[in-house]
Amino acid sequence: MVAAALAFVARRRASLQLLPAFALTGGVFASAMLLLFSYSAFTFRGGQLTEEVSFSAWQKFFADPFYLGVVAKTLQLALGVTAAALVIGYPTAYALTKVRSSKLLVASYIIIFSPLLVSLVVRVYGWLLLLSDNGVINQALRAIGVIAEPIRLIYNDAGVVIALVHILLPFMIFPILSVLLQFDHALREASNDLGANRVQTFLRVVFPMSLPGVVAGCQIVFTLAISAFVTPELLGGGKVQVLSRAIWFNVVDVNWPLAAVEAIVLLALALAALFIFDLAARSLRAMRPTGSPRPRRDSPGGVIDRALRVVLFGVLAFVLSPLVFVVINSFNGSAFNSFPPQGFSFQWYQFVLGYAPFREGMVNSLIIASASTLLAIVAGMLAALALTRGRVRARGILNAFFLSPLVMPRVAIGIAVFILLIRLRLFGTTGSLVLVHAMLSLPFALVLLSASLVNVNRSLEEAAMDLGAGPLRTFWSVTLPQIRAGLVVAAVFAFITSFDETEASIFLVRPANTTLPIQMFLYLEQYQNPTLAALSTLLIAATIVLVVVALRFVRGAELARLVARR
Amino acid sequence: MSADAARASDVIELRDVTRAFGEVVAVDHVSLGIRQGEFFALLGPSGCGKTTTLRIMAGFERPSSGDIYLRGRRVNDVPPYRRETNLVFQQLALFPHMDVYDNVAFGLRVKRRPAVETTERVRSVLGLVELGGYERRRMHELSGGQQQRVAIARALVNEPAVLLLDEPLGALDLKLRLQMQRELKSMQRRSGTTFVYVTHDQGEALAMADRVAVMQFGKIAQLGAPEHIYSKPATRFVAHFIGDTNIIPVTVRERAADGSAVLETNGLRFAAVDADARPGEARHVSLRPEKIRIAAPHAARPDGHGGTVTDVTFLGPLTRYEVAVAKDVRLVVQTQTESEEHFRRDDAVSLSWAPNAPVVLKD
Repeated sequence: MVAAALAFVARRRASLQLLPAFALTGGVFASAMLLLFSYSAFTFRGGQLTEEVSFSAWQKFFADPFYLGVVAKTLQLALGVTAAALVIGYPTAYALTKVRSSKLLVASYIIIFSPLLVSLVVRVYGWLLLLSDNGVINQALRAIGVIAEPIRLIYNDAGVVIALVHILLPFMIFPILSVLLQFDHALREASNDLGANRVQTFLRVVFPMSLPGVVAGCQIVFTLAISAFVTPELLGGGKVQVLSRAIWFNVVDVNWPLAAVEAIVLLALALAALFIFDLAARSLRAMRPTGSPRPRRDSPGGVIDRALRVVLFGVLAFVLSPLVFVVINSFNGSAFNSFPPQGFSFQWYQFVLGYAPFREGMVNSLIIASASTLLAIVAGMLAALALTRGRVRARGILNAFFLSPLVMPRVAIGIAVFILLIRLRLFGTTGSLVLVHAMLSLPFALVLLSASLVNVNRSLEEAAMDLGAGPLRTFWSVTLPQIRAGLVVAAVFAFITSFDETEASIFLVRPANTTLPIQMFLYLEQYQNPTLAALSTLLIAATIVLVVVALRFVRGAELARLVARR
Repeated sequence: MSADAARASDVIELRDVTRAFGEVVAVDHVSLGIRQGEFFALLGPSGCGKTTTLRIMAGFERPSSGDIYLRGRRVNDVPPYRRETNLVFQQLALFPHMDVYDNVAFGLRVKRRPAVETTERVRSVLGLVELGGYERRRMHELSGGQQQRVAIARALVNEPAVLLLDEPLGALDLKLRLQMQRELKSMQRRSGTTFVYVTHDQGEALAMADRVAVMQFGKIAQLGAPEHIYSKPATRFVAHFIGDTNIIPVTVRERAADGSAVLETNGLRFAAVDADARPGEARHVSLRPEKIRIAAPHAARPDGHGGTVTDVTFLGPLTRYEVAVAKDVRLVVQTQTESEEHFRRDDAVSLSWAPNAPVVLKD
């Protein structure tokens, strides 16, 4: 009996290992998405929601030119952001390949990727400080006499595009950079040898061959840009009407069927964009180099390289500036975010520490982030073990299934899960947020842990087992130490994902039980004083401490291997 | 500029060229001239400076000192894309985002040749490398040998003054390599182009080249026709590197006015001709295994040296013996398996060789 049970477990081990991840992605994400579709068919009449199937929301959406305009605006904004990110990101990536000094290179990487570690609300707040009528840019331009009246940089497309480009730039730079770093230097020499000068070589060889990176970067940036919510909401001032905001307002109005339709349209746009960019990528796949590529940094020199250097420093300043001015403003003596700061003061720090909603939000966020990280890591580890080692059928499909929350607009996930939780009477509970955040972090955990597990030396495990260690003991003392880097990075990613989660969570919190970024978002919608600067500075400091502590556990070489694999 | 005129037959010429990378001197005061239409090989082990020499010719490296002339014009400061040289890269470096036609047409398009001329020249060079009909193939759809030919066509179509080849056959398997050697030689003959071919494979150099420069430590150890380098190696390094040989340390005992000398090692005395040596000097001699005759004691020649077989290796058409002839002197002897007498280990034998077989080396 026992033996039969054990044999069953052994035979089904891979399936059992996949179970927790399946419960998260299937139970929370997939079922919510299915529910979203059924709600889109229900009827909203006279301010009331009924479960009468009428498809009236679909009719309303496609008949009313207002919604067509919203879709057009969403696409136009995303295209603008993608184009701007490409125009800024490509030269930056190219300039990075020319950097010889390893110190400058490391500093550049850290700066370019730093926005990913800082809360979305903090970044948007930074741009408010920079771009508002009395903000840093307008004050500086007025001071040097370029303009007399402030130019409008927020509450219009410009501000939203600037802030979105800032937030999404790393996603454009990274894929292009990784393709350019793989570039076979011999091809550049071959082109020179055949008579092409540097410009001709770039246009005919380097750029065409970097197109896969360009497509990948545009794909990520476009998909994230069409679903952005916090940025257009806070920087658009109600004037930048995109789908995500329409969803938000319909949820507030209890018009869930229309919100569901809008979420489905947003989802469809995201999937269509993914599909189109995938087609483009597939047509480029024939570019496999012959022979093994020998990447080498091109030798620097000349006007072009000096110009690239200027671009690089400009982009670094662009990336850093909102964070820098947040920190400066946190010591502002004035209550109106005025620039230059009037006097020096710690009052905003005192206020933040005494402000109950922030304190409660912080406690909530820490609990939710810790619990969801633990859950995501355990589920991700088991699934990664099954997917990298077990005999699993349909591995590719399973992988795609677990990664699918990554490509879905957060706002669409938010409304879908919101409806699910209302139905289950779990809405507003801390436990529900833990589950949702774990589901959103799972893709990162799975990707990073799988990458680490592939690198594990299996013969060491076999040696341990040969020496008498059981499977658990072997995993604990041989496997785990080898994947420590991946584990730490995955945990940091999961924690930050949960701690910063805003765009889905905003649908899922009760006023009495909310998280810190939501509190900040709500605060920012009402008040404009340096309180948030002080809080943001504290969060930036905490993030730096977290990353530094995490890196202590990780050797640089392990980390480099992990990054190289991605 | 009279020096230029004197070397007019050289299509490319290095004059006292040195290339240093920091402390490391990759090319050390090399001077050489390559003649119009010849197949020239730069041969040497890895790290000997042959590839750097080639890259200096192509324009990818600048000499630290010394000058390089192409068709009589000093080209030290001419970048690769303005030089009339083309390079066939070791890893081929074919453009993976282009098909065969676009790869081959690349150079002509960059130089903005008329479309009609481009089409015509690409077609003709693809015919030369026997790739007609492959125009629209992508690089990964070609075999190793076909990729090789695309790389050569892509360079040849520009009608370079010199075609430079950097170990282009290294990635191929042995059988294909031998076939490509023959094809390269015939392409060179048909196109009339000057080839400079870098290789570490002495067989490749001997089989294809009109002249060979053997390089060691950034210097040219010996330059000459393959037959000359094989039969009259200048140094121990060259003798060892080209073919199989016995290197015997000897003392010069006598030297006659006609250049012949008597040499001795551990009681073994033998004569050599053309020995540029002084009596009493310690030198080394190269003696090729196939130049030594091996015979049974009863059939020994009067000038034979008695010895004992210590090892026998059967190599198919050849048989290799190791024979102890004097104290601490062991000679490797190679015979034709079919046509010569066979011996076994511990057999007593007699070795002899012609007076012109031993070559007294410079170092």
